[in-house]
Amino acid sequence: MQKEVEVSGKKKGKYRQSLVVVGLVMIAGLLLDLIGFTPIKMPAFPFNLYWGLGFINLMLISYLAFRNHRWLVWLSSVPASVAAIIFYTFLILSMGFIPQEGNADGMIGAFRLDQVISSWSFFLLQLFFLITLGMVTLKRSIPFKWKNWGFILNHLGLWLIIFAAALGSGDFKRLKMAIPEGESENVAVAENNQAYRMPFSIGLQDFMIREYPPKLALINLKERKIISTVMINASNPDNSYQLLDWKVNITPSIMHHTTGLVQDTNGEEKSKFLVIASQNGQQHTGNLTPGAGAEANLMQLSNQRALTILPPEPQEFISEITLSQHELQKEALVKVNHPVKFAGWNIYQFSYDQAAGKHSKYTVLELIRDPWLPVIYFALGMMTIGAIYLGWMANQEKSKHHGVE
Amino acid sequence: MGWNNFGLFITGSLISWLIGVTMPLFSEKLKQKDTKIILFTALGIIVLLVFIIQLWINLDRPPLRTLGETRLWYSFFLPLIGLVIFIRWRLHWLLTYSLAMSLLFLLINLLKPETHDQTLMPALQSFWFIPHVLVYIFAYAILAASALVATHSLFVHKFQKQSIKNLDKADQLVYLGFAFLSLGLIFGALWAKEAWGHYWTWDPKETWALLTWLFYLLYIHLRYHRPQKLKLHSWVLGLSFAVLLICWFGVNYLATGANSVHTYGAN
Repeated sequence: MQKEVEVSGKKKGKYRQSLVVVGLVMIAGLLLDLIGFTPIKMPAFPFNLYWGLGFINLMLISYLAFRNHRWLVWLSSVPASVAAIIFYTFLILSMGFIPQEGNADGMIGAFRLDQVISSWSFFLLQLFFLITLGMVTLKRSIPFKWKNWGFILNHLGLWLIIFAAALGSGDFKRLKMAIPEGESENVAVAENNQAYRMPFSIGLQDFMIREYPPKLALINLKERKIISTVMINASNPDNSYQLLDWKVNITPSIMHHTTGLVQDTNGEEKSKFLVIASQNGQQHTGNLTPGAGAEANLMQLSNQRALTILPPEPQEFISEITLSQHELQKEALVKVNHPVKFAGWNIYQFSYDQAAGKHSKYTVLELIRDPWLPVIYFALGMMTIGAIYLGWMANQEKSKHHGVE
Repeated sequence: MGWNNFGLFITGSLISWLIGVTMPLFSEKLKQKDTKIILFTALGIIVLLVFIIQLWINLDRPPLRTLGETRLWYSFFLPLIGLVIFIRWRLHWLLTYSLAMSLLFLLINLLKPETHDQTLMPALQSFWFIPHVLVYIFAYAILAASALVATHSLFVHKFQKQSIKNLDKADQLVYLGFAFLSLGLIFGALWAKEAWGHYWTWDPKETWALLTWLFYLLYIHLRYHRPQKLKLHSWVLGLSFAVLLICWFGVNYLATGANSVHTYGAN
């Protein structure tokens, strides 16, 4: 009993010590920002790689040479990890509550809590996090034991993500490129308006918005609410639909039989539907046009009910492009959620002329380069396996060597 | 056939699952009982699988395009994951929960057939949509259960003046829930790379998801090191769930949430 109290007291002291040390790290960071030290910026390749290799070497050498020194013992202890998690969480909590727009006044602005990511406190705490997480990982990895594989996957995976994301931020590029239809472009612009000449050019053949077929909607006039909808289906044999207790029959002028879109003889996709609605033998007849404003386009059925056709919703935003670099040419479709890879860049559908909608005469693509991505994916893979291990083992392992640390 | 005999298939799954979950009432021997639960749950899942396969053939495309079709996949994977966890951990309540959630999604599809037409906006049309949502459904349910254990411990401690005996059950749930939480973050990161160009952009929802993860990470490390501090740890566990709730419901109401890309359907 006496011994237990003693152990408990020792652990308590260790926690206090850890919280004080890591707290000081954070205060140092806050003070650096208060004084107005220029925030640290990750250099680009190859210097970020040198920094990274230097950091790994330093960690390895210190661990191998001084693993029994009390500082290193402390750095790889649970109290140091807990303190690191607490202060790191504290900083991210401030990000959770304070909008990160970098325009706050007073203390928040002075301590850069309105742009935590580029603050000294974030940098120092993240560095401390990496050091203690790294030391813990080394302690469990050298000498290697198979029973530690789950632990190593989780801890090394997390370490690698933070490490590669930090170094990679020096090489990460996010540029925008606007291309008019029928033209070709090789200059892209960064967020700070700096222009970059790309090592390839992109020609835009066509920008398209594929739409879902329009929907027929029943409206409650009193509450101005849509109470039931049904999609107009080109392959519906008798053009008949049920909306609650209304049976609605609609006949389009010409229905495009593959896309389901409605076209009139000019090819303009805005045609009138002839609508016959009936309920309990009562019949109403009228016209409706998809895409027109709902106000102007209501077919009143009773005091409380009306029919309308809602504007079609977008299904896909597509840029049909040709990528060319020297002799190399590649045709591609860029869609939301489906970027195209070319010459080390990822190309994303970003925007278009929203006022013109589907008739937009240009597209805006986002060009992203992140050469460290394979490392991140590798680390995410480690953590995925680690997570499954964690769920499968749960606290079984812990209860086996309870309290050993 | 398509959706035509959907009701019939649901009834098939419903009956086998009902037999499965009520098995404890009829069977005496524990081991036999669990085997039967597993068999009947699996049978219900196979019925759903047959329906999905015929729908796929009938539509001549993967049924992944509408909200109704998305729900169908939830209904299939919920009991499947619930079953795997049951085989490992024998959590009867979680299996029942996953079956009930699955039936709920199936029923919505059955009673509101118009949702088969409900379209998915381009940003949601991704391979990652279903796994991302599924793992969070499990993470939140399991962590909610762990929060109940913590609250119960604190309640007993406060009002019945008993000391908290242990948090083993809560620990087990947190490890399991934390695993799903990690998978949710990882799948979210992979999806974000496809959709928004970067795996991590400090979007408010991401920030709060990370905070939730960090709070449970803290709990796990505290438990590991000083397992006897039961009262403190119960509080940490309760607090972690509060953070989870902010992440789930609260982000849209925070000053930081105004420009979150996770705020769908606002306009």
